[in-house]
Amino acid sequence: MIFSLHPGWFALAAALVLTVIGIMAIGTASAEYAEVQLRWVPVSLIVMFMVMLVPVKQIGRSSSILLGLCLVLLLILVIPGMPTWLVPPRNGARCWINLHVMNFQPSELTKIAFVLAIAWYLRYRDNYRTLLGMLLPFIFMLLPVAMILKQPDLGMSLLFAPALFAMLVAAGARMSHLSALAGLAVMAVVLNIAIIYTLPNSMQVLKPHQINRIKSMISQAQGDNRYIKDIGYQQDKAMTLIGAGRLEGYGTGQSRTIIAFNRLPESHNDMIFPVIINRWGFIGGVAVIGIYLVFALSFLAVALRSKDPFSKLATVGFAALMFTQAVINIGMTMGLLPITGLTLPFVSYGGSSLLTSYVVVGLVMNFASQRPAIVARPAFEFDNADAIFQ
Amino acid sequence: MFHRRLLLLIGVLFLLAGVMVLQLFNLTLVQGARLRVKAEDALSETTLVPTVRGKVMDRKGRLLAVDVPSDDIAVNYRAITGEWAYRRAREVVFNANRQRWSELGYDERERLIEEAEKPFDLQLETLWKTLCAAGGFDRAEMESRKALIIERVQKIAVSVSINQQTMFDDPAQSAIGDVREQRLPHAVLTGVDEKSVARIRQLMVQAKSEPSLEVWQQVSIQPSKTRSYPLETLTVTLDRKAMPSPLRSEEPLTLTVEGVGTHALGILRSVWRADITGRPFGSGEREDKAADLGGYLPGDRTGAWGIEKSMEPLLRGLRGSLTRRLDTQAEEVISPVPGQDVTLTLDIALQARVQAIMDARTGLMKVQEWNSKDLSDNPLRPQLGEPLNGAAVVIDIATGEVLAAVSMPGMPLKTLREDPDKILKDQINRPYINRAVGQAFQPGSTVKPLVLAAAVTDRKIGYNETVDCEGHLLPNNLLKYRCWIFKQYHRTHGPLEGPEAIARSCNIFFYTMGRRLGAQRLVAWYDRFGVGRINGCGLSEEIKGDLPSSADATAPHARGFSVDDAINMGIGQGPIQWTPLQAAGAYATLMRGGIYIAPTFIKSPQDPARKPVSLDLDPKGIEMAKQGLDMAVNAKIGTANHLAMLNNELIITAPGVKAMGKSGTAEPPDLRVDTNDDGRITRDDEVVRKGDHAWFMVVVQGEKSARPQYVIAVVVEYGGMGAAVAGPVANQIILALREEGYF
Repeated sequence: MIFSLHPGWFALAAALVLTVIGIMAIGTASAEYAEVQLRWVPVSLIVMFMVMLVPVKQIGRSSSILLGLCLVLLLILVIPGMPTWLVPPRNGARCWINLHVMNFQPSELTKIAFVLAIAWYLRYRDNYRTLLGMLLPFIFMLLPVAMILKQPDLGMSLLFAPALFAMLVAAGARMSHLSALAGLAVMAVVLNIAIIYTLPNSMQVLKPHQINRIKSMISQAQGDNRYIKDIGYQQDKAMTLIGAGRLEGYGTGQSRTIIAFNRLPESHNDMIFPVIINRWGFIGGVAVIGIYLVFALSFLAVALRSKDPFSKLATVGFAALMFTQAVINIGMTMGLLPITGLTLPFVSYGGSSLLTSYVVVGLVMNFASQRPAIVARPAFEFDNADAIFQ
Repeated sequence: MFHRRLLLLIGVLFLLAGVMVLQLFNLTLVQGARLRVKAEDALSETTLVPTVRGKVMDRKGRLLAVDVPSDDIAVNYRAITGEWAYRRAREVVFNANRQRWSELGYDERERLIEEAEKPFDLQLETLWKTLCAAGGFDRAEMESRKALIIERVQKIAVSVSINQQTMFDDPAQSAIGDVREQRLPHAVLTGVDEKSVARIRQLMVQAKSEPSLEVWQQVSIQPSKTRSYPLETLTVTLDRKAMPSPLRSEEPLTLTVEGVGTHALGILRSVWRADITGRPFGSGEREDKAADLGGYLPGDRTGAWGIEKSMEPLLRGLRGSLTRRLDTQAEEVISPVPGQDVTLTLDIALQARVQAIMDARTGLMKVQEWNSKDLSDNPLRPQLGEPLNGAAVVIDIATGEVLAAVSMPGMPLKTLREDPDKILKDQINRPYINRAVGQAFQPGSTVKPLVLAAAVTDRKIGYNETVDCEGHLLPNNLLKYRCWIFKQYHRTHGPLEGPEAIARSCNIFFYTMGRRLGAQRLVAWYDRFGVGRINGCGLSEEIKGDLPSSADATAPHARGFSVDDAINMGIGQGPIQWTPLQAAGAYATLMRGGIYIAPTFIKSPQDPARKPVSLDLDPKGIEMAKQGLDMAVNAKIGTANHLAMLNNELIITAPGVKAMGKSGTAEPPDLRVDTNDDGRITRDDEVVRKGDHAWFMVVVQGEKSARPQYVIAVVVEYGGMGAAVAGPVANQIILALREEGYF
């Protein structure tokens, strides 16, 4: 049953191809990390297999407990005065709990637990078809998001809303409510940008507020500003290395030299995409984006085939989660989005990240391999069937 | 419904993927070529190799300006800003409180650091004081030097940040970060003497073992180059036997003259913003910048004036660069191109002699009793014993080369270094002006030989034709256009032929010539003699003087073309002013038989544009002018013959030479300075000087020479009578030429 044929296999295949590309790219950036990453692959696959064996109902039932546990862990991170042997700060952020075997990032687990819990919560309801009912899960979402933002881990916190949104779309929340919500989000972003760019040609001619800004930055220059500076430096380097890849990339040897001498920070980790493009060029980049598309589409196919409303929603949530993470990571390396610390799923170096990604694949494989229930109410078909089942 | 919603999500997925592919396309295929160059730039590292500025030599090959190796004392940027003390204090506090560091709050940490900072601040203060002592300036000067360095580095940091902003098109994505200059030492003392360097080096060694001296680890000694002017100060011995009797002495006078040739030679200064924008440095590293290794970087030196400025592009040379590929270790070397040497026409020994002659201590350029009858009737005239300003130019007639060009008051480098305001802010005496080329004076009677030659050539007067001097030009107006002899003694010259009119310096004769020639012809003639235009002597301070523009001649009410102007210009008054160099050039032209050669300061490299031009003067006219000049000096009737106020002592006494010449007493407008500080000099400003400019032009030839060899032009600003004031100076210059072996 586990090994029955279903679209989940496409997702797994895509994940494995991305992992291989990732290890090759990590090897280009820094060889020693590739080896470590390679060791995490069997671990991740074993965990994935174990996840595939857990009954779906049990996953659903324990999802809220899991989320509660995650929230406690997140609380540990944000409570001030935690000993550094337990919560080692890294680059000024407290995202990690030291488990001595490995560093564990509770937010990684939280995003999975969140999707599962929301899917479990929404599965037989229809109150989200009212405005208030739809807003409830969003309000609940603010709890983990706020704690993750406090760490601070902006990148991770950005993943929750799109996943929830996608789940609500799939679950059949009213489009008018959803578009209103989306409109509000867009307006918030636009307002923010408008405040920054009060004047359209501000880049050409320095305006007083920019001059003041520069002045204040000069005073900052005397103090500690490495964090801010890294952002600009990193993105510049990332875009340069991407562009330098041109159509076909440099190939391994030369790419290694170019990357080494351009001193791209986090080149094996958050900044792995520039390494890929530098090595394989535009062609390689299109391939990687295409594979992510295949990955997300096969998830959606799984959701379509599944009869279990919990599985359906969770799978859609995971598809949105993983694809959004990839888009944010790639977007920031190409200068489309501001830099936030976020890994490229399956590709970036990091055991924790790889493991989490394969757990997601395991869950979806699990959902996909369930035998369809014989009698089941077609889930989330609100437009035509409401009368029959009420 | 569910599958329709999924289709919507799929649509979003494709949209996002599409946006990413588009941006990827933009970066790799649209901007790819540029970004590839940029990425590969990181593989190479370029260091600049300094070049050597060209030497400047005088006509006899003596070094006037040369780069000499010297040492700069540089201090790390963080010590200059004082941040070093904070950082060290923080380290100390951190090490002492390592265990409980995380428990200490921000305020507590800052308090401890502030306390620990004091000894380090004290070390810094001692460092600056020591360096001030080594540099021989005060603490305020050091502070201003530090401020300049900080300003410059911050500018670089800001420009780097702005570049990043433009690149990301997002101000939030960049900030003022570390630039290389913030980690480097910067020179605070340049050209330090060996003794101080040795002492600083000793402190730097001690700093390694002595904690109380550790700030000296922030100091480094950098080899560099200083511009040296070895012959700027020279000692001259003057023979006083041929001086006017009150100054005559059997004892020679030994003088140390400073600032020899400084007006013409110039010095170096730090570059200004305009220099950098005018010729920015480009290493060729970045694809958007043209490579100009000779371009200016902040802190570079450039010529401030004189030859150092005008010959800057030649003298400067090109930096070299050493580009190392970091991956292959391949090196690409562009050798520096040393600056070209420049040889001047000046004879620095003669220059020093002329300067000594014109030094106030010698006495000739000081107001003396025999200068004028009415010395004290006007308080705005230079008073008895007061030093006079002026200029003297000596040029070689055959080549037009300037052998000496002295402008008084001078500009000793020592004063420029120690008390620059004394030179740069003296609005009355304006020592910073090179009066030999950069100041125009009314020529007065010195133009008369030129006017005669021109009038004869234009057939405005016959070879033996006379003009009757009745004391005034206009029959019924006794107050306008008078002859000097009429004004002073109420006498007349009677009928005069051209040569005698020159010798007696008759105004009526030359008023008449002016009227007959007309303003247009006069302006044309003056122009051909080199007046009213830049002739390209090689110094950027050269001015064109004043002359109505021939182009305006036909315009209605054009300035300078009235009959009055013509009459005035006939005797070198009215709308005409020339520089001493132009005066000497015009006389040399006459002596060459009407061949104009632009006077020059540059012997090599030669200016190919400098070609002789014939004025097509009537040889007979030239002959008459020369005859007049001869009589003026050598005949009893000549105005340049004797000192009337000093028992008729001869002016030109130099033995073994044949001299001829012309005196001139020109009436300039009063000298005003900007007393009301409105940035302009107008009638509202106070008059600080009145009086006449004293001119004396002399042409000399050695006994062995067949033709005139040198022209000497002397002008003394507001000095009074030409013959009495400028004449003895010219006589001494002839003797100086003799001393230096020119006859």
